Amino acid sequence: MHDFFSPVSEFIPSGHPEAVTASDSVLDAARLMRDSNIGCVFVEEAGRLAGIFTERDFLIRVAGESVDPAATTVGEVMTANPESLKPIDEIAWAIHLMAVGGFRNVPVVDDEKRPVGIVSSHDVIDFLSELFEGAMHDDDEVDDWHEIGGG
Amino acid sequence: MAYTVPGDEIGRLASISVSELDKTGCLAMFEGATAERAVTEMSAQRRGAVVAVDVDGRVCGIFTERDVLLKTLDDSDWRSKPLSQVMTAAPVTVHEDDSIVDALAKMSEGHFRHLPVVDGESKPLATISIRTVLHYVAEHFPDEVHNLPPSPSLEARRLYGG
Repeated sequence: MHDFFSPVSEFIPSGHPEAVTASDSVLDAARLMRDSNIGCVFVEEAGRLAGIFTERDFLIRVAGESVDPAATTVGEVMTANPESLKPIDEIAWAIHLMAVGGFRNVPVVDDEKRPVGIVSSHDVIDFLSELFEGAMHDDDEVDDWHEIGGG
Repeated sequence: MAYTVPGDEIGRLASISVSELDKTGCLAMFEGATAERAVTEMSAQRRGAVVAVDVDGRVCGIFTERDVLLKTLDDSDWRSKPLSQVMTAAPVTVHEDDSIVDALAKMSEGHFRHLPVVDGESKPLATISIRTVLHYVAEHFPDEVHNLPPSPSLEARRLYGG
């Protein structure tokens, strides 16, 4: 069972996250997001995190501005230098960044800023749902015990 | 580190209804409105979803950022299409009296980022997002989440300085 102090490394899938470069077209990046069923891709330069490109970037800077995805590079519309976490940081940090900063995807990088994975708001919601349902179930058990004891 | 969630906080969250979460209403449009208008409003209002309603004003669909990506990418005619052709029909909703924990469970099970909040006649009252829920949770666990500094640093990476 996870808690608020569990490291974010326990919430990210293994394997290298999907990535593009800043010079790739938005069309290619968006197709990768669609076909891989993911909400964002990393933008890497020389193996290091330079930015992320998210569904929100697509909505506001591409579809909302009526720009041509095939004629626009990821570097023009990405979120550059996003807030990131290290694998040892607690999941509470991810919740904090999402709740206070409004980020839906928080990249996880190593000490050299090489991408390790991403914590999504879905991961956090799954964790909280598990945490609360577990705690409520524990409460039910306590109530049962009290009923038995009081009978 | 052993840690348990305070039971009284869980009880509070379980008893608080979703109607107390939202303070900004929702972006709702008739299902016949064009996808272009929906995208323009979502972008201008910085909202991740539009709730589509039928002629009686009842919720009949939702059009999200994900839908924008999926439905517009390889369709040059998307702008003139009605919401009814690009939305996700019959979305999962929460009732205004449902608890925040109920909403969390629905978001977790369905992988939803937005849930329309409806009244007894399925008319939209609000949209709650993952961010709204996380913000509320963070406020109720201030020691664990809310009072952290703006970003982690080497000096303050451990929550309790250990």
